Amino acid sequence: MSQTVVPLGKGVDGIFIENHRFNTTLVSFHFFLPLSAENLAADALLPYLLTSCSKDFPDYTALNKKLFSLYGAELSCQASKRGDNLHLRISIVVINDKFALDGTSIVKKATNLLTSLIFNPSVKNGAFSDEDVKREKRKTMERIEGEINDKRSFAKTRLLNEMFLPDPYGIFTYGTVEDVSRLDSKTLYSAWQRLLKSAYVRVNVVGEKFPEGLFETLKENFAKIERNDITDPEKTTPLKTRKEVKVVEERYNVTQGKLSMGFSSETYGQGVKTFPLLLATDIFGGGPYSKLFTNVREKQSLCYYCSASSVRQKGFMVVSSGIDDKNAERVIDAVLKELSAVQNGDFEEFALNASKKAITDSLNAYYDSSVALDAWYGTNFSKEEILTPEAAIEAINNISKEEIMNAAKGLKLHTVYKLLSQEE
Amino acid sequence: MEQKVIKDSLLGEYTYAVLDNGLKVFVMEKPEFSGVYAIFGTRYGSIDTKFSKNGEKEINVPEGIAHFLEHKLFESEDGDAFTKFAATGAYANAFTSFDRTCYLFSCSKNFEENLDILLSFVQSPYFTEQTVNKEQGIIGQEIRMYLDSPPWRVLFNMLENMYEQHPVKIDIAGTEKSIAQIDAKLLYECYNTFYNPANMFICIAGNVKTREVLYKIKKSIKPCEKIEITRGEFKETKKVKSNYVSQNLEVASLLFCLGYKEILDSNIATVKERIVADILLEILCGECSPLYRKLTDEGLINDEFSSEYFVGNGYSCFMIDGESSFPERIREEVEKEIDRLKKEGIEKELFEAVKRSAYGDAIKRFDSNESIVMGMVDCAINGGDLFQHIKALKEITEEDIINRLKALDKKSSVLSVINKGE
Repeated sequence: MSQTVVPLGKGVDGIFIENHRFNTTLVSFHFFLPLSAENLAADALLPYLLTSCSKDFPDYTALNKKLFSLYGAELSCQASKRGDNLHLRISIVVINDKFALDGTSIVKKATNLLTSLIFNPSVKNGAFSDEDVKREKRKTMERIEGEINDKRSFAKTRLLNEMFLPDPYGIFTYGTVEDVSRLDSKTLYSAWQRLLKSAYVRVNVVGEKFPEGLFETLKENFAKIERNDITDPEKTTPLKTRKEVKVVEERYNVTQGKLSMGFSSETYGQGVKTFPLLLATDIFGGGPYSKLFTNVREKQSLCYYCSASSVRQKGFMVVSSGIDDKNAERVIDAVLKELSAVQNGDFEEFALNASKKAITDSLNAYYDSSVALDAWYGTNFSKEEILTPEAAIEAINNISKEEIMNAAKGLKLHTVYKLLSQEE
Repeated sequence: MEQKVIKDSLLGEYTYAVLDNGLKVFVMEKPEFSGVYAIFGTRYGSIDTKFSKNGEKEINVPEGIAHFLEHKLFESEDGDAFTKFAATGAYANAFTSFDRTCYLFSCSKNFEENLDILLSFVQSPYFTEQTVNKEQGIIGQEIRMYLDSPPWRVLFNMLENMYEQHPVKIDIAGTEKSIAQIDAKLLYECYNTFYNPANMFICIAGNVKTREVLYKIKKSIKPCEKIEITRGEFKETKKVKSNYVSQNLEVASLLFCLGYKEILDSNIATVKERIVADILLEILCGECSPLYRKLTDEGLINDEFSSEYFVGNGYSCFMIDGESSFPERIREEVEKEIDRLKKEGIEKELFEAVKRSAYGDAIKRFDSNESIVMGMVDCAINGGDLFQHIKALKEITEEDIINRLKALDKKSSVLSVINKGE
């Protein structure tokens, strides 16, 4: 499985990830635009608008019917934050031609459809249609409001607000309801222009056969656009450490409390240099061999769940737990005690090996999923040699205990967010 | 041992074997894949609260006991199964649903070792008063946590009002009261009944060799007498307790779940009945349907809107759920659309598109070892083979859909709503 990066224009790269395990072909566009409080709401809504209709399919019923007749081609999109950027993905998965009952080339049709959604949307006189924008605005606002329904992820979102603002990284991925409510068909048009003119673009194709002519079409399309000020997809500004930990407490109508703890990290960015942080986080609060699971959850029974995850690109770690309100302070102490154990190298050889095995096993599994491969190659930008999951496995296996301890030492408690039940 | 290879010209083949003790084994070799996904499971879920074995007297057991047993089985005398899997790098888990309990792992290295662990802990029950007491606390907490979960509540409130007798209406984990009645003796009773190989299955897909897998399984299954299980019958009619139920919880927007109860001729739905139900729901309210368009354009639904054919031993229900400030309006529009379809029939183009999409979905399932294995589990429980879906799909006609519309009867429907508030 070899991959070569094919330049398709200024700040546009394509990769064909050849893989013969799947009955499907996946084509995916990844766009990177700077995160900004001003543009976030429009930029994050754009992929939803682009995948709901186009010039050729002016309404979503027509578009959905087309997708259904392409044997259930799956069109999907997503917005997420990555370092200092907003990462937008628009992709399609379609079954391979050999399965088509009518013998037509469905992969080519699906690929053309995807391209036309991006380059040929339903716009007129410098604006999208009001009706389409209104619909997508409503759905986005409901998505933002709905965040509170799942208290576990809500507690993490609130923690990130408190940790990062005014860095736009602290804003919820889809913006605020107020920001979205102000959007109109013209601001969305500007967002589309911004996407075409200045986003860094990565196009991934995962499948057994390359869809003929795809990269040529894309080259032609991008050549027609004046592209300037291309976003640096790797740009990231890490969190500054805090002298005094910020503590925020809120009360909701719940039976189980949530406690989220945010840590700044000295390790950040991407690639092999961040792997010690990946291991440190996993040994601290990842698998069933981790400190938080074995000690805080199982032995001390202080939490219903308690785990750690790190966002290496931006450089921070979050511990999420479900607790009885009265235990909040005890949990904080216990978590910090376990972290200092990792920092001092007080963890067993067993945990280190188990962690390496779990991480390398899941890296191997990337080759078994086109969606996972797309995610991997959509966020690996090296110009020289793109890191493969295979190379990452080797790098993980070579990391020493000292490197892990050092990465852990770079973690400092920054913000604590408590979501507790209403007082009796 | 009975063994056969089942083939499809495009999708490949797999082996289905039944050991002398009745254990069903499914293996699909996927040599091009890195990993393997494996399940050791039993046809035993939350609805199996009434049963008899070998023609003995029927007994009733506390609700939630299948789930409780699953929790306990992960612990054995010589340490936690989780810890053993952790040492190999595998991902391991277990789940209990209405009609099955499954123990699973996925890995890309050390498959043999992982299979040994799986085969061993599922066959080594170890329950004492002390560990049972501890688990009652942990599961009690899990049950309380679900009381906070709006999507969970909206579903079970609907089911509670739809079913008079059938235990599908009870939370899979049971209630705090029901699990308090569980003790070690009862756990052994259920284990010895439902964890008999004749009631179990092993399903594996990925980078494995069928011959080696079968050899290992045969060697590792402990000898035991076949048991005949008779599952309790729960008499249900088309009648529902109430057509409407609501509860107040802290939510951003109202949640609803609209269910239509159906009584099938036999306890287990046929493949055709399942496919027709799926297609019917797509035509009624799927993303290409006129109803979906109307509800979206009027601002009544969002991306959370979905439908599902909810079916198992002794229950069958068409379910439509989502977020909406006007659940009553949705019910009205669904009723209108059902009436329209009954009168005007189905648009040919839509029917063909939905069928094609269902065919594509069936092909896509073979891209993942996990979904192949989940398909095998369905075959183990409901019968049939992995490729039957694709074959049966081709035979479905518009008439089949129209005929099935009769099942959607207003009088047998329940609308469950979660309102905002304390």
